Amino acid sequence: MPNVTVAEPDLQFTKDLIAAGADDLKKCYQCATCSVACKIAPDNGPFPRKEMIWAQWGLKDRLLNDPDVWLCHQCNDCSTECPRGANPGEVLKAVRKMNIQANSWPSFLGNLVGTPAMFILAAGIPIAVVLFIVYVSGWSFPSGPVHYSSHSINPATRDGFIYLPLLQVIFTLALLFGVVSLVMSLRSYWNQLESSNPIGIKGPGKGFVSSLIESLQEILPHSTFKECEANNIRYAAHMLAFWGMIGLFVTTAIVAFNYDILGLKPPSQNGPGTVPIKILGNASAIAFVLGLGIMTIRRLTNPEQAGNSSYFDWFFLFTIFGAGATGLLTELSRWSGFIAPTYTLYVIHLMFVLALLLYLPFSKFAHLGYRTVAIAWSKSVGRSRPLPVVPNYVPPTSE
Amino acid sequence: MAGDKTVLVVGGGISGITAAVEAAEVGCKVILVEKLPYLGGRVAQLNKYFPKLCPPTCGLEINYKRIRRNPDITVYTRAEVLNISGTAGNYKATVKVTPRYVEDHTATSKCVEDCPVEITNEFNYGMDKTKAVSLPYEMAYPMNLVADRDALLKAKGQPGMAEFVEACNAKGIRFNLDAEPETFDLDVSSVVWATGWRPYDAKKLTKLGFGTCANVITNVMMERLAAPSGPTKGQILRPSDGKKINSIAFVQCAGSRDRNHLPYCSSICCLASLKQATYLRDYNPEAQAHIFYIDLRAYGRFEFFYDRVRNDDKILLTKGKIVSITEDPVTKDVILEGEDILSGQKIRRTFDMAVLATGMQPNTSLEKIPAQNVKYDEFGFVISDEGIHATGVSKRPMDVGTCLQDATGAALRALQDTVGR
Amino acid sequence: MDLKIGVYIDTGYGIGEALDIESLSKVATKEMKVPICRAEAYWSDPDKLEIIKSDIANEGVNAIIIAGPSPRVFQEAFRFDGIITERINLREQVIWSHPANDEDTQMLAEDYMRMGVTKLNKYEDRAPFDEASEKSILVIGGGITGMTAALEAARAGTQVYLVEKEPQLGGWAAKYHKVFTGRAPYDSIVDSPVQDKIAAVKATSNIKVFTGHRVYSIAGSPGMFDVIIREDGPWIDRLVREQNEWLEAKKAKEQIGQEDEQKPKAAAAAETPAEEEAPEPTDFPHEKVRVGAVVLAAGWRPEDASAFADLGYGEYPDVITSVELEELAKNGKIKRPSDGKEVNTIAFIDTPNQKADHPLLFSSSVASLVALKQAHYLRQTNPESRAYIFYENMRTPGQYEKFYQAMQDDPGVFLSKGTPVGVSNGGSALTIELKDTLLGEHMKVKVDLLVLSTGMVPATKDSAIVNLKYRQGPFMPENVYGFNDSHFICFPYETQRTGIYTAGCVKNPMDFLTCEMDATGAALKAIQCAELTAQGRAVAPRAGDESFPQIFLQRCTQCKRCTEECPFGAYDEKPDGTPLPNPTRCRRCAICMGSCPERLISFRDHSVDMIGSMVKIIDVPDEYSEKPRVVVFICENDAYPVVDMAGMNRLEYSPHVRFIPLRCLGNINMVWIADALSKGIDGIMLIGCKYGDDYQCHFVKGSELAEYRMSKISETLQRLALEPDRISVHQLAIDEFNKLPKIIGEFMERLSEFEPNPYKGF
Repeated sequence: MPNVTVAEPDLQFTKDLIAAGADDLKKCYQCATCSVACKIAPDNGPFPRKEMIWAQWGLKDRLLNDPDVWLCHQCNDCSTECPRGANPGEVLKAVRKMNIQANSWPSFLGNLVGTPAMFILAAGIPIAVVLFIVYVSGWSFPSGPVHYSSHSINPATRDGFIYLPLLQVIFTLALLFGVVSLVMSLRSYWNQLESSNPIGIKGPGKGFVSSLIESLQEILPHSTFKECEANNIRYAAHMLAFWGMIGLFVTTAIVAFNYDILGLKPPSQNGPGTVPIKILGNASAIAFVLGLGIMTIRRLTNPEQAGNSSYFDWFFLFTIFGAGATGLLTELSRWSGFIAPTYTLYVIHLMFVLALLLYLPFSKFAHLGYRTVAIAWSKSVGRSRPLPVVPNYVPPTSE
Repeated sequence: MAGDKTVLVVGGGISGITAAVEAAEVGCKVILVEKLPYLGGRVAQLNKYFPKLCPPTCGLEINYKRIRRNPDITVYTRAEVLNISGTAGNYKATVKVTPRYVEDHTATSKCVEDCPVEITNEFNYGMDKTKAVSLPYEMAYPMNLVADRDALLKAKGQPGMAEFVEACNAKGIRFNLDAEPETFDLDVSSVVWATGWRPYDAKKLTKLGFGTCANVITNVMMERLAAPSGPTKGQILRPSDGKKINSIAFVQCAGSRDRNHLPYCSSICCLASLKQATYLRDYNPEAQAHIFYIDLRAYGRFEFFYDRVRNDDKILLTKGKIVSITEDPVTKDVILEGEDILSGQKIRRTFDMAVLATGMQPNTSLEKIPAQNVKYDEFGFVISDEGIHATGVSKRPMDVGTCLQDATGAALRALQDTVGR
Repeated sequence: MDLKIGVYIDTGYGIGEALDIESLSKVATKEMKVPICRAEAYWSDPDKLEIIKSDIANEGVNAIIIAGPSPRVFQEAFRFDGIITERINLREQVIWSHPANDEDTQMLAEDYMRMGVTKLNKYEDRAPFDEASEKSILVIGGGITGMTAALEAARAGTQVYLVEKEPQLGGWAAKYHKVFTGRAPYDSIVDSPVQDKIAAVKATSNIKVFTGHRVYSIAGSPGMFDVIIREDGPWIDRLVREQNEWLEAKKAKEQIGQEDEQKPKAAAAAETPAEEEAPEPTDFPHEKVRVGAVVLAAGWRPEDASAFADLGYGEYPDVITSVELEELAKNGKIKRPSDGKEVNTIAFIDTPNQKADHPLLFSSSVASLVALKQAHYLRQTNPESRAYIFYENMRTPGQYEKFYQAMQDDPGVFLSKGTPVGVSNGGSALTIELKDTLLGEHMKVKVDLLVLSTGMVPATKDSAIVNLKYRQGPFMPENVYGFNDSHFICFPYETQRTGIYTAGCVKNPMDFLTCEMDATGAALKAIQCAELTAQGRAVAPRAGDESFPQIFLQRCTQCKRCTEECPFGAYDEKPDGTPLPNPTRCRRCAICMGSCPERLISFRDHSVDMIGSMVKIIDVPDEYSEKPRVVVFICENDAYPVVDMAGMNRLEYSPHVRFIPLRCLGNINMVWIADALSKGIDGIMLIGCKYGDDYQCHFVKGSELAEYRMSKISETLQRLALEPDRISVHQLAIDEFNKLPKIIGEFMERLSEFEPNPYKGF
């Protein structure tokens, strides 16, 4: 007896999906054009055809535990070729958003980030925190050459703008919080996958680690991304942003390490950007901003391919692009010798960065985590073995 | 009872023919206008009808007989209606007749088989060549040759041409390439519009390999391939190498039910493919046919046929649309990709040949009726009930039987116009 | 009248070069004594036609023979008022399929000349039968189809009698809560348009409506049907019972076989159902109307839902049919039959019955559309409700695809492919189990109400409806699917009861739009039949034929073959057992002519004597000449064009065969076989249409009858001491001309193994 599905459609869930941007999901008539149009869908249990029927039937549990929605890289080949205009791409996107919110820990932050109405609050928190730091640091721009960090809170001995220890403590905490809750979210997600396995495929299981490594090998060079037909420009853009971000992270880490731990004086902040570390930083920053810039423009100019952009998309793009842009601007402004603008931009930059760290697991930013986990899991259950081309029929050799 | 009032029937396919003979046999004078040099339209190009698997020419012959013996029917072939003015009971129609450019006493292609000039054979959907002067097909009505003026003019002075023309004269076959088209007006009291359909242009289905893969053909071509009078004399061999076909794939909804092509369902393609599967099975008992579909649409009594075909263990049915067709550069086999929906597995298989079940596109969607106050739906089918009586596939995608019910009804509508409601 | 024949030999097309025209003319003039015989090229040319016209005017020629191209061409050109025209096919059948200037080819041409003249000599002048001139029509059934037929016919000026068994018009269309019309913009469900139609019918002066009435009986024939219309009542049950008994008896007889000797009593009774009819029509109040033709639009009834027992129908009150739901839906909110609780979840099963062996269970023309429609009955009254639709194949043909899309575009409508496995009652709700769904191999759903789409059974399955006073019984003959039409793709209105045309769901499950189309067509056919009948002409396929059968009754042996074998029930029976012809029921296939062992049945231009004489006139060389002779009887509808096409493609075959076209192969009379063989003809071939369930015979069973008769010929051959293999019967489709030379070749091969027919020269 095969496993029996007891279908109890969640009408509300279907309505939520439609509200979340999957307006056309009811148009699907299950021809499976999408599953084949998709270059990266696995051969066994391909997506998004099955996701479409699940969505129509409001099968919440299946969709929320469906790793395939993360295998999708939103290239929209499926939506372009759909004969009924049901836009499967949008459905998967909506489900991904719900994924993030459903697994977010603590959960209320999921809503905070996901609901437009709460934008003020969501934006308010990092702003307030950073302003607090500025206030503690003395609430004024120090005279003389631009010097971001001060080691003393005492106006007399103040040697920079922001009181560094405080900044360090708060941002480290924020980072830790972000990372911890992301890990918590992903854990709950992984466990759900393990327990429910909606695809119903249990292949020769690989270990978690090996499949994780395999996944990274394919994520870092964006090899899957490349396969999307409809828009390969996105591949380039995402590549830039992705590596730019890594670069920036590395830079920050090294600087922090040298400066804060080893107490080495950083290469003169006012000096030219010729030091390797600076080159890395600036290059990364430019790549980062460029990549995100392209994506932003495409979202604005080419919804056909980019798909409809929801608040969820914009929130993430705004935060991360903001962080990058303000960072770069601060640098430029400093080179140009402006004092006040530089500090102001620096403050804004800090706000964006803090937002990024705080909301990591709740915003679309989390996709880096979820996608990695989903790909790893799929590998661990042996998905995506490409089937060979087989002759449909070879007649018995007569006479 | 219809007095001397005349009914104009536009389109000499099976619907137009039926409307014409039915109207004439109830006493109307009928003028039947057909664009091509012969009557019969699309069904003349079919091998067999579903579900009876009987040859369309059988019914056509009876209808030609009815036309021949009925003095009240006038047939114009190679004729087009340029304009229609007036209202029911009182129309004026302008008709343009293109000459056949050859005069004969009913001849056959054999009579002119040594014509040195060849042209593409449109009747066989370009799968073979025919002579620049020929009888369109064996059972053509009228049984008269037609000449391709341009081709013959080009060949003037070509070696053999003079002798050929000479030989023709001896047989009482005389060319007249300078003949002029003539245009005239007709006063009619009713107009029946039955210009039918054309197969959807498979070249627009860019991913399905028509035109790029040698062994991808359309369902209308398959009819010719299986027909005793077709390019292969009814042998089902594949185009690339004339190899006997052992595995064939039928790709349903090739264009139909697709907002990018024909958003409506063409109604007949499923049954046509089921039928064509039997063509291959009868021709080659070893062979296997595989039909890929979204929904297999067999309605009413056609469901018996569906059931009969489905019970052939060498005819497979798989739910899942074929999305891409490519070609093995070496074997020229076709490679189909789709998803077998019930098993949730992707399909990637090779076949000797693939047949695209392309849909029916109403000619009225491309060439509107040259008259006032005709209403069309978003697909180009005629929806107006009053005035000009559209019938057959000008109204809906329909199977032949239903077309003929409608065409017979159109004859009554015409009769009503002539007696004056 | 005595004929003055003019023979016009066409020397065009190469005939002049291929044949010895002079000796051919001699055959006509000297041997056959034809007064005028001319040879010219292309008689169809205007100037040549003048010669013929002047012969008609000046020489008193009143019958012409054109010896040239096939009769399938130039029929128009050689049509002269009041002149009988005969054609001899020298082109397709002689010079195009046989070598030029060859002795055998010449003999062939000369034989055809003899046969052609003989045929014309046997022509008898008879006026057409034009005594049946009633033009009003009867429409049975007051639903959408019947009303449309009545309205459309009336609009053409025809008097219509409309009979509806229920107290009011409207039929099913009036019982539906909402409908889909199939009309642009195709995307919504609306109130039934039936009320407007009812109003229109009532407002039409030349439609006389009988509601609450049934057709008690129909006697007579096209142009003179006598219809007795009687108020509905218990009498119908008795009538139906009697009809069923009659049917049983008939079946019993058929099982035992055609042999008249061993007919069971029941069968004997079956012979004359009319006598069992009681009481006499005059004993009860009734209306008697005379009509020219009939449209049968009796519609359908839901199939017996017990067929759905395996899905809980009958066991659980909340399992209902789509028809029953219409009733529930009319009272606003949909409530469960079991406990009156408001329905929140409903499931539809589109194809509840997969039994393909039972023709009439199919509802597939509309099932999917109905399910989509009815899902919205619930959705519109209850926003929180859920409607599941399970289909095998979602069938929304043509523009209905847009209806599908519109109905589907509602979060509360859930669709999936699925084959029902079973239904169980989980206390508060039903649990439906399905397999092969889009959500997995097996799935279950809980619902308050389960709706099974109902098959549409034609009303004619339950009773004859038309209640014919025909010798062949009260029923319309059924086709292989159990419907009353003749199962032709090209001629959807053909039935085996001339002048009675079926339309709407009595013919095939169909939607409103198709019903209306079909009704309009049927109305035309009825009007047309009355018209042609009044003119003494046949209806299609031999439309316009003015000949009709006459029987020389004095020598009739009451063998009843003609009355039994006529596919159209044209013959009734006189008390003395001899046939009573009804000329206007006749389709002129001449099957009766073939059936009569006493050769009593003849048409003015087609008779046993005529064909027999044609056979006898064939010149049979002696047994040493090595020139065998074979007569090939061919169906003129399909086989004749096959022979033509063989010629057109210059396919060669034996010049020793002589083709004789028949109106239908069922027209073959055993006498001709005997005549031919006793005259020294070496072999006989019959080529007709395919028969069986998907017969291609235009007269339904002609070719099959021919086969049957030939199976009975053996004793004739034994009497003549000839090999049975000298006769062979073939089925050939019209497009199989390539096979003709092979068939003939093989037969000649077979003959060559026998001695020449010893009767040569007798």
